[in-house]
Amino acid sequence: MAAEDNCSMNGPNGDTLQTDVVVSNESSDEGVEETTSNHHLPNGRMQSTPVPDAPMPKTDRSRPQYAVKYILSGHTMAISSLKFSPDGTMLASSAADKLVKLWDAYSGEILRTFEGHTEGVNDVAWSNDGELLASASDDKSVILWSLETNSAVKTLLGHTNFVFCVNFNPRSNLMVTGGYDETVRVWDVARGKSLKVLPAHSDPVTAVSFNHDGTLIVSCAMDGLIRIWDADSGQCLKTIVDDDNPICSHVKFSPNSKFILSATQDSTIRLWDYQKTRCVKTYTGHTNRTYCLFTCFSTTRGLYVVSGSEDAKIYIWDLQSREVLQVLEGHRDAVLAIATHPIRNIMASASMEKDLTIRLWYDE
Amino acid sequence: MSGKAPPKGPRALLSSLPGSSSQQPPTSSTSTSGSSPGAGTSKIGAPPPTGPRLLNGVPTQPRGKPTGKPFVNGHVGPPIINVPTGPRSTQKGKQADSSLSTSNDLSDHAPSPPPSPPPSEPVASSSKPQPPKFYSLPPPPPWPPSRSEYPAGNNFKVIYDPAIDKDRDGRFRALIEKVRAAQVDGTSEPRIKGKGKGKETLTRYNGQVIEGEPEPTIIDPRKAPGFKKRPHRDAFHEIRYEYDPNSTGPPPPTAVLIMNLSPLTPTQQIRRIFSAHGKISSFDPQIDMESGVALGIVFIRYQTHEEAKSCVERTHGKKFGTGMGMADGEELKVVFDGEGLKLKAVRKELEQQKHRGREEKRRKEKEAKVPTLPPAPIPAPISIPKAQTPSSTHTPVQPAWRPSHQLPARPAHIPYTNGRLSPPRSRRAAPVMKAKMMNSALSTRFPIVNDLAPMSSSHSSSSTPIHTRGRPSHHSSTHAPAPPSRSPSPISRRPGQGRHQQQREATSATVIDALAKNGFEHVRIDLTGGAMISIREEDVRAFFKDFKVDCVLRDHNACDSARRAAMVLSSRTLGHHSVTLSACPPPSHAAPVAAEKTSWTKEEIVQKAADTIIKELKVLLEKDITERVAAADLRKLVADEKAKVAESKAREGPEMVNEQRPAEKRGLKGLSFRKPKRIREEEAKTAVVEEEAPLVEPEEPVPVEPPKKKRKKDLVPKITRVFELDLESEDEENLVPEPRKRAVSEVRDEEQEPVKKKPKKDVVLEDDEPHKKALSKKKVVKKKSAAKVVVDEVIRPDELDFNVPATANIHISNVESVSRSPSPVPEPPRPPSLPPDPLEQGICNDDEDLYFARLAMSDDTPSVSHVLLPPTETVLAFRKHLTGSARTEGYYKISHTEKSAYVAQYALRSTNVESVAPTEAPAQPVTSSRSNRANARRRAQGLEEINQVQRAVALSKGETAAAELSIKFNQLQTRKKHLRFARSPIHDWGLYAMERIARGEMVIEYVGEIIRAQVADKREKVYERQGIGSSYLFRIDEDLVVDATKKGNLGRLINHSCDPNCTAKIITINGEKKIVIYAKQDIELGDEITYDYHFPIEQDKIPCLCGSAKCRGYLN
Repeated sequence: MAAEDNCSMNGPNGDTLQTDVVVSNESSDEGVEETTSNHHLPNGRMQSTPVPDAPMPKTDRSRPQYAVKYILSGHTMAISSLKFSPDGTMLASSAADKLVKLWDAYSGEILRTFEGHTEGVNDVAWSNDGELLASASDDKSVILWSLETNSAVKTLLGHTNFVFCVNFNPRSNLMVTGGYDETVRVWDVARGKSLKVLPAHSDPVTAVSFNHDGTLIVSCAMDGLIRIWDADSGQCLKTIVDDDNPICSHVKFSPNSKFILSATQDSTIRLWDYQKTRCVKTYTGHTNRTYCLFTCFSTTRGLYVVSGSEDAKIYIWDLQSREVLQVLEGHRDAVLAIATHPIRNIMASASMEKDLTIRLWYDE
Repeated sequence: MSGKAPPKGPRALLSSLPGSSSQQPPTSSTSTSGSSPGAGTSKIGAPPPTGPRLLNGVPTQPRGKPTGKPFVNGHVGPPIINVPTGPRSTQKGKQADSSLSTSNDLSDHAPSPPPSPPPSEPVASSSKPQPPKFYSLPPPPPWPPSRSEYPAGNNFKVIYDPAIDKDRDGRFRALIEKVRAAQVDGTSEPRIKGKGKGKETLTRYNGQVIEGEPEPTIIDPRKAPGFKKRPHRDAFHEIRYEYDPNSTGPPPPTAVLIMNLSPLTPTQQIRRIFSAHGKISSFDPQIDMESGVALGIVFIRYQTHEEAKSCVERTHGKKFGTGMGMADGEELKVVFDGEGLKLKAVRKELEQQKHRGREEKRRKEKEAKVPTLPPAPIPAPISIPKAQTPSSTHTPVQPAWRPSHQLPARPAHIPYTNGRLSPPRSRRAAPVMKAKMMNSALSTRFPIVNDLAPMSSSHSSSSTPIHTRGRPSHHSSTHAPAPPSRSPSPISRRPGQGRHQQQREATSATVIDALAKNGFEHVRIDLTGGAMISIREEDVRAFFKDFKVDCVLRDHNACDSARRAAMVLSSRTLGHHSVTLSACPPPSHAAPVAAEKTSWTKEEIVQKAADTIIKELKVLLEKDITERVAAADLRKLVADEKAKVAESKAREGPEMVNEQRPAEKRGLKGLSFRKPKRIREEEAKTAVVEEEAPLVEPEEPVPVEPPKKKRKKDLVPKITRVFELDLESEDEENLVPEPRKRAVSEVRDEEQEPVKKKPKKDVVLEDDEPHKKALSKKKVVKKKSAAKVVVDEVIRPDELDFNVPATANIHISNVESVSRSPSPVPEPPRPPSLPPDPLEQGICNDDEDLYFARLAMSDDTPSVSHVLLPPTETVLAFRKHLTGSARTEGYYKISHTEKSAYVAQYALRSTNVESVAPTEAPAQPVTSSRSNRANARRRAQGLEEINQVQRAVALSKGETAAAELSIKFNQLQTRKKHLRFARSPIHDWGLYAMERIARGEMVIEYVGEIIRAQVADKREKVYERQGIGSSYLFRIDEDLVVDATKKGNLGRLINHSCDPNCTAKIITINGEKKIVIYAKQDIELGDEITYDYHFPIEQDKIPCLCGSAKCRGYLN
């Protein structure tokens, strides 16, 4: 019942949302599943009573207390990536079922589905104005979707193998992609043309990202190297390599771009001072051995590092103390994708085949 | 014997087994006393009386297997046995054993057989009478020193060891004291060892206890509660050992030999196909050293046997379509070839064949001088009886052949692969050889298949289908009564020879006859020796696939083919072979005469020939006129029809596209004169096929239909070109005085074929009818499959170009023949009726417009599909993620070979230069970090070199002689030339300039080990033996040679050219001679760098493939 009801709701219910605790079952069809005790008010808002046995002690507000609020299902194959829109109202998800879906971040309802890829989609990225959505796919293309026209505006071809990761620069005039062809490509968004091909790595590139001012690109690959590139010239400025060279799953700049956060498949997340090529923090506890899991900073409530894990949990570390503050359980398969909300204390996570749900975690 | 109380455990158990230790002493003592005096003192190898010895003894018996047994069981055993057993009783264990446990033990054991035979029985039987006999027998082999798992010596147990055990309640302490007290006598081995109080170990020997010591209890482990009896075996274990360095025999083969590949298949493609089965550790495509053309033989070594196995299993006997790059869908022959023996055999046989071929040729040339009428029945030397019939009889014999004979059944087109080692070749024979090679290279490859098959018994079955396959449908028109034997083996030939001599003559007569009846020009291919046998009709047809071959006739010593002769340009290059064919005027009229009435003079023959030719020409002219004139009318007639069709097609919309495309294509080709006719033929074929299947008429017109080789992609353009050029070419090539219109002759061919063929068939093929039926059935099947294939192809979007495979036509004609032209067979013989189906014809003519219109209309569809669907064939190379996308798939290892499919620089490594060289410049930005690094390294190295050179120069300032040059050297060296190596058309690898190099500049130094000439000679031989085909030896002067084979720089990759752009100079720097390559002329970016090797003239010629205008033909 909950699923349909929520789907039919119109408009985001925004800041009036209450905290919910979920004891939910899977919903088979597309939609959001609410937690057990909801009452729907005539205005379409939803009210729910908190479930007594909340997992976290209510008293300790120093720790994050994220709890599931919505369970979104709709993808039919493993979900590969999640991204909140820059304004935080929407959540984009991509999956191996070749689809990109848009969800309302606050209500959990499905807004849109983009079809067009011929193979599974690996990553999705928002332009800074929230107008464009880029999706990287196994069909070796990157498609730019316009939210305005609701359709594909450009298909970027050039990669010679699966495109694995994509990101816009802050001005959103450039886009960077990396893929199994071991190159990093920089694209002109307006023209849809490849500007540069960086022969970056000797193994599939697993993550690429701009820094906060768009001058640097960081890329990492399965060869275990993290490379920092000058976005203008395409020169490799620095290569960071861990001693035992583990496969690098994900890398991104810290919000101030002084550090890079890298996840490696030795179940470790490291924070690097890339100027000095020094690892400053190491976060462990989760499991990451096979998949290229996303790792995020969460800055809305405190400074956290968040990552999914192959043990179907989500780990939240304190950025400074490196201790695990919260472990979110609920998914039933490896949590591949995770995203943190830019403004509010929301996190989204998505899991793989056995689960196929996106969960929105709120801490409010 | 209280002390004999056996200790615990297995030993105790065992000791009790053979008859309890207490029994032994008596028996042995009796014997000892008599036989071995020294036993008492020396205790020769006497095993301890208790278990372990026995244990040893029993199992060790078999060790002495060959001889040991008799000794033990027979009479011999006892005396020896006595020796060891003796001491046991006399000596009280310890002493004997303790001393025994040292070296004595082994040495004394040596002569004696097992010390532990079942004690009582042999002793009893043997005691006295045996000894003399013992000496009469050969001395027993040295008894292997007993390598027991138990220490030789006394049976003991450490009861207490302070280092390990804890003596909590002082029990052991007390015991030790007690034992010490009891042991005062000191006779036996001290049971207490060690110094210091509380640090002694307490040992018990042979189960001895002193009173007060707890008695050891005997436990039989087999009677222990949990003991499980081993189940009885009802069969021997089959033991399989993994192959390791100690195994005998060759290792499981990891290499495969692949044959029957089309020589035109790009190496890379082959590699890609076969790398699907596993990592290829070596890939060795065999090439003809004379011509550099691929032989269609590839030797691939995989990394593991399993991979090789899977390769053989999956590809052997497979046919690859043209899409896979295989010619004519040949069946691949893939065999294990672990040690390259088969490869060698094949090569050897090829050499022999070639040799034979040459000899044959020479002989022939000599014979040719003797005036003979065209194909007179010359008694062929050794050659080819009617090789066909024997073949079948030989098949059962095959297994008996020696593999070396069978294997090589390779046609002559495979010459020596190792040019350097090859025997002297005569250039004169070459043209003929080439023709031969060509023929077979194109399609004769299954002879080998046949002959190879018996080698590996497992494949023998597979040879049968190949045999049957030997007669594909389309050529059934000929006279060959049975599948021709392709065995080159003289053994196979000989039996048939005498028997078939007559028959042979008859055959040649019929051939001539047939030629005469045919009345067309024919092409005669001189095939001699082994090659001839190995070439079958379909091969010939395949060779001439672009032309309509009327029929292929086989003479006793030659394959005579009557074809549309004009097509045959005397030397067409195909696969780098120039084919020399002589187009003969229809011998038809000469031939019958020759056959019937030998007295005719040449003039008469010529006269007759001229008459016929004129007659023919008349007919042709007539036809030509009708065709030209009537065709126009007809076209007008169908113009409206055309329009209608076009409209309907347009209306039918997108779903028609697929169907349409072929039509369009055809339409484009329809402009060429030939086109429509072919279509009609195809229709006819298909129609016939339909009829044929149920009817199975013995003499259908089908076989007459031109072979289906027309389906080749390149067919259409070639034909059109030929058509345009035919006048000249015919003039040049043919003996026919007047030029004939090509098309006309074709037309005539077509019409007359049925008529002419029938009688011929009657003559030749009478005995062959059942076979033919089968063939025709097969044909039906084949055609159908072909049509299916076509459908696939039609769908592919990238075939929209004009160069469409003719197969598409088949498809469309199929459709249309069903829909519009129900029976093309009863077509009137008039050429204007060529466009049999006006509708169709109309489409054809109009299709160009239609095509473009459609293209314009459907413009967006393809573009969309292009955007969304990246090219399909590349997709095939990529992994398909089971989970749907790369990210959800997780990490997996990507092999290098896989990567090369999509990473530019990996792919570049192996691509052919011809294509790469021009595109290199744009591709350059995509260099890998690795190559960047490598370049940087090289640059650094270069700098270092410069420094060295500068130093050298500084040092050598005093030397005036080399001064200028060295300065030059130095200066030029300062800027390292950017070079790169890639595959070269000249030879394996070549060096290419990646920048402009001005005239006179230094390009590179030829670096390598500097060795003496003698060493170089030796090494050269070694390299040759190792199969390093290329020579990297560069002579500096009389006694020094630079060997860059193992150590060197890029300079060694520079190829020879007779018109080079560089020269090699030897300069001296600091007294050291160096080879430096200078640019002789300006070298443009991307040019291959070459210099003249200046090899000395030698007997063994190395062919030059430099391709320059001034090429001398040989390197030496």
